[in-house]
Amino acid sequence: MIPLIIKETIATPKIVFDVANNDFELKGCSRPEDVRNFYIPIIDWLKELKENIDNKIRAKFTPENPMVFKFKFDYFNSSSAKFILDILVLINEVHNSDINVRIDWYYDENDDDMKEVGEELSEVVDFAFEYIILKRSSAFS
Amino acid sequence: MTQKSQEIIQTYNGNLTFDIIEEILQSSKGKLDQMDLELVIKKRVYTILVECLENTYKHNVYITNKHKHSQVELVLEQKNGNLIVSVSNYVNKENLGAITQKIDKVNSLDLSGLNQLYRASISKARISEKGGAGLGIIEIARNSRQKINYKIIRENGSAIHFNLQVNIAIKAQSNC
Repeated sequence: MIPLIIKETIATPKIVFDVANNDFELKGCSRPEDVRNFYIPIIDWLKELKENIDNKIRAKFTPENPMVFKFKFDYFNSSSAKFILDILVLINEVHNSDINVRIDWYYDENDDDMKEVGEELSEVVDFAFEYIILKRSSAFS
Repeated sequence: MTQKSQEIIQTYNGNLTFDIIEEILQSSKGKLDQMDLELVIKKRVYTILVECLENTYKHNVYITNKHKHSQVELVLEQKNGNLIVSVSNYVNKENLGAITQKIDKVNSLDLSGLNQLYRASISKARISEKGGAGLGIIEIARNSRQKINYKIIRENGSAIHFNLQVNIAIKAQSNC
């Protein structure tokens, strides 16, 4: 599949979805001016991935080397949250198609709220996340 | 750092655009970073600012009137151990009931109830034509952890000059 790569801006996150390199990352701040226009191509890419799952892809992602989705959000607004949930639902569906998948949820060591948001989404989507602490300063600007 | 009992941190009067919201947010971030606050408090204030400004941007009614009142008025201040976000703007009279019902609903819930409402709402959320998911007020309440205050300043025909005030305790609370 052609990788999906979107550069980070001040209001939109960096997106990398690259099957060949097992590189799946969402990073930064999400409060797009047009949330639908930003997230629909990402949703469509994941739907295409789901439709194109074959034994070659299954063999690539073993239990020792799963497909790892890294969620490294500093902040996302409430409308982005709805699309992030949609992304997680699709990732869960990929997992249910016999693909080994792991979700890594990163949060700042001083930002327990971001961890709680991850735990909440994990519960809603019924998929256990790994939680990874980022050591940073207390500044956020 | 000793903090004064009352201090204006950020104000804005005028119409909103996406770029103006960005400027307000960046300026507020910088000012909050200069204060002696926990990161979690800064981010809760930022979340409340985003949701208040985006809600206002999407739902504000632009009117002209002889008094030339500003269309949107934002104040972020520190007062009596709280950070206070106050936003005033005009809303359609016909939408007022739905807005106040939503606020009254979240005000009737504790944090656990708000979390339950959020989980139920995000699962069935649909993005509106204006780009909202209907989760903004719940997010404001969850981040404030206090009751949301609102008042009608005046009526202007079919438009209502509406004020929303959200308080955030400067000391983080894990539950309330």
